Amino acid sequence: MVNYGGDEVSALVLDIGTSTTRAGYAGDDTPKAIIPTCYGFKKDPSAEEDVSMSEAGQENDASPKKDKIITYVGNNGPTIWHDGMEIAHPVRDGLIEDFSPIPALIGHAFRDIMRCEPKEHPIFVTEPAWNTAANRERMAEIMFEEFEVPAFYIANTGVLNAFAAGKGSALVIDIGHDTASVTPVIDGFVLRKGLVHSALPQLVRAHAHHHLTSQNSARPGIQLLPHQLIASKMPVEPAVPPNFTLRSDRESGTTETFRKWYEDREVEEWIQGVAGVLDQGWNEQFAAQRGARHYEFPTGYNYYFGAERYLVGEQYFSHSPQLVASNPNLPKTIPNLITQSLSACDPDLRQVLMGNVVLTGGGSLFAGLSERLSNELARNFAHVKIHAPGNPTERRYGGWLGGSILASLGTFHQLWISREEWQEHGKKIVAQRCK
Amino acid sequence: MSANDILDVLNIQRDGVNQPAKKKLKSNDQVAHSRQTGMARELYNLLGPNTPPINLSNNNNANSREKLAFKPSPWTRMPFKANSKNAHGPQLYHWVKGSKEFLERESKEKSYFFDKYNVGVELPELVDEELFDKFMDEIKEDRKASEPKQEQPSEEKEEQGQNKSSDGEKDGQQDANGVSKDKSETDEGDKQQTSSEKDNEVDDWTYEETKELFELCKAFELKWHLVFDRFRYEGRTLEDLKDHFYKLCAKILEHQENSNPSLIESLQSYSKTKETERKKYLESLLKRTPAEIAEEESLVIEARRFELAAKKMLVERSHLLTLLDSPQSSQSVQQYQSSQGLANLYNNLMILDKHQKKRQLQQQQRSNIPTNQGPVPPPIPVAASSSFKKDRTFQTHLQQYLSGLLKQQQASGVNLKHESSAIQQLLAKRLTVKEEEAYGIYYHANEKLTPGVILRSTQKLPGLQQRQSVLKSVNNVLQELDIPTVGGTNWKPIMPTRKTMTKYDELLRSVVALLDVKRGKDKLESEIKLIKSQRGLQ
Repeated sequence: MVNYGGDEVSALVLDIGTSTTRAGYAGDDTPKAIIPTCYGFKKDPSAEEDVSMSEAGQENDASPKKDKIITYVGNNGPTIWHDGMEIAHPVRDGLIEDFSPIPALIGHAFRDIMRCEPKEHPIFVTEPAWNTAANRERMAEIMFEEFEVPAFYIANTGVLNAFAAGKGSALVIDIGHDTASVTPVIDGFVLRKGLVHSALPQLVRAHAHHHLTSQNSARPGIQLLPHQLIASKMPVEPAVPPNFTLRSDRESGTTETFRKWYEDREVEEWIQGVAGVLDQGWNEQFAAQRGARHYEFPTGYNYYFGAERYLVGEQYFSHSPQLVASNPNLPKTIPNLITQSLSACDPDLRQVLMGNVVLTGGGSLFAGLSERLSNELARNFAHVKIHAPGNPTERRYGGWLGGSILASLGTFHQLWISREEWQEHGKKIVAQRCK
Repeated sequence: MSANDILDVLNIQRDGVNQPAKKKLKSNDQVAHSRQTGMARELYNLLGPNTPPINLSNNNNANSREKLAFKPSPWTRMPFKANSKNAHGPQLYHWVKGSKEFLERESKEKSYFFDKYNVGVELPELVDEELFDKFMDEIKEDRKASEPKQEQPSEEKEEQGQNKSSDGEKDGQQDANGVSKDKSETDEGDKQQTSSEKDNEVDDWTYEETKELFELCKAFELKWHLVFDRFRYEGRTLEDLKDHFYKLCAKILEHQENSNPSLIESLQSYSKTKETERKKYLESLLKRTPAEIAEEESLVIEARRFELAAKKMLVERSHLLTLLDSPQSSQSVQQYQSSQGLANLYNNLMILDKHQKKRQLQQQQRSNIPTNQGPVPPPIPVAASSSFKKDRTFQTHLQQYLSGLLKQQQASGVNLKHESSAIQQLLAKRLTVKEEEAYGIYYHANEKLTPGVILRSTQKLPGLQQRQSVLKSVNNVLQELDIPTVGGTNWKPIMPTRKTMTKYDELLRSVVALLDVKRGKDKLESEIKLIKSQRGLQ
């Protein structure tokens, strides 16, 4: 108990991200349940069907009153095709926009996957550093009122990422699914003035989507069809038009949001699998020298992607002039974010922050990104030290891991907001306790 | 283990008949036990009469019995409150080692283990609004009172600081004059602002603002960067916050009884101007481009190199100075006895000469005397031989001249004849005995000279042309007299100058003569003795 200051109170840690929701026990090194945050829903034609559908255990009623809507959550939720199923994203810009599916998501993660009852455990929730007061209070409300947890705490991911890296003060560069953020953390607290974030990963994905689907001199535009719609396909040589048959029975029932969600997923997969960034700035020759990489799409079309795969990563560091000219409100690049964040910080702190740069988030696993970033930073700052965990789990679930560490510390337990306090003080206790 | 066992171990005999029988029985038992442990009988027998491991077998038994009786220590899921100050804190559960009853008893006395780390900073409580206004007035008055006195020096300081920072900038960015100008302009502006604001600035702090400041300071335990980050009112710098907080705290503490005077003093010693100055300077440091940083670093390295070079030169100079005095009589001369040592000495002296020559050349240039005037020998100073030191410089005049000559010869062999005539001229000049001595000129009047160059150290002394036995006894005599020789057959003085060589030769001859005389004397004495004894005189 006294070793390393840890004291297990079997707390649960919940980290709701844009792409995945992570849940697990405090003190573990990886989350037990990792489920997509997006969910499928459709209007229920009849109440009877609702009963028959619930046997699979992947779907939950959003609320018993609106019994006309069935939601599909979890790992087998949005990925399984349903006739007329729409896909929705409750989290936008890192913030929870739509709270209606959140209880279902949380319940699914805790009850169906972890097989534990939230009523018996203190729950530790994460939030982005730019979370609104209303949002976190709503979260506390869900936890206390719907899940009846005995104790609750909410901490922000910037601080937790710093803790996961073992640092009290750090400049956390978190590249997530939708948002890239730079958070200065000093003595375990976020400096809100230096906090910046941008929707850069969305731009990168949109650009990659456009690049893949549009025709160029070497290949035709690629069809990003979901594999759920493909009945059969024949293996083909690289760069040869695909040979596949569609499931015509499903075509009419496939919604636009499902297609969009799938395309986004496919592009993301392509980026993670193939794309990279050169460590010394854009150079066509170097990019060509690196060699091509093979990728096969669900249609069976496969291709060796050469220098073009390195163009994708450049977007993180610089925007092409024509892009800037066409769109003045572009999301800021990572170096821009860092300089903006640092200039808002006290000069006394800059040296500390640059010596403790923590690179985290699933988007940062992009091939060559950490090398490029360290090169970029070394050009502008003296004594830069980047901490980028080599373990992909640690990088992707850094926020959860920090929460797991924090919630298992003996010194932390005095910070929990108890049910009693919630009932006594109401919403304002959240802001009081969680600074 | 019974008392009998202990007595057995200690070899204490107990009175009584049945005791030994019992003992035997027991030992048999033990043998049986030990066989069970798996030790081979032969090996066990080898142990001989040495102490049978009574304890060992007993312990084995006890261990297995203990194992059977082992109860796992209980762990209990105990409820606890993490924060003893917060009665409404959550009831949390953790597993603790120990039985439930024991832990329940204990938990009443003890608080949570980590509760002791839940400590905050001690800050003075903010006073009510009336007192706050009073304090603010006092602070204002204090400032006004101190202003006429402090204004002058503080301004000077500011100026100095500015000069320093602008100097630093000039060093750092010589070409970016515009920037530093801008900077100093803004500095001046700031200064004017601060001086004009000084009066009304204090009033600016409202009670609400101050209240928030105090709350934040307490919440973030005086982590000023965080306090500044969360402070909601616009237009305050971090230094403003610190200044106001420290000033007000000092006032509050002064107002209290039994306050710590040193704490108040340290609170009052905070200087906002200095702090802003420092931050400005730091910012200008951080704003340097990598090129500027690199330039600065290279300058630092160069400066360090210069320092090192200066140090090295000092060392070299001291070496040369010691060389100047060499060969010292106190030092061993041995190293110069071989031809290599001599060559070294020569080289050293040549280097020394070159140095001096250079210096003299410079002197000559300074006094506008053309250096290459032609083959005119250097004038021999009048006081050339007045002292040893001057002698040396005087010698080097000549040497310098000769070495210069050699160089010229190497450059062009045309002038050779002129040069040799110059030496002849020099030689033809009438030299006094002292001058001759100084130049080392010696006329070999009626000596046979072997052709070619010889080293004097390899020269054979004429006094040494003796028989081997004589040489041996000569050696003995020299050793008795403590006269240093090189040793071996080839005797010579350690420092074979002409004078010493002649002296040495003289010495050898006289020693030989002395030995001859002695031998003759001994011979005569023995003869006298013989004759006396023959004649029966004794």
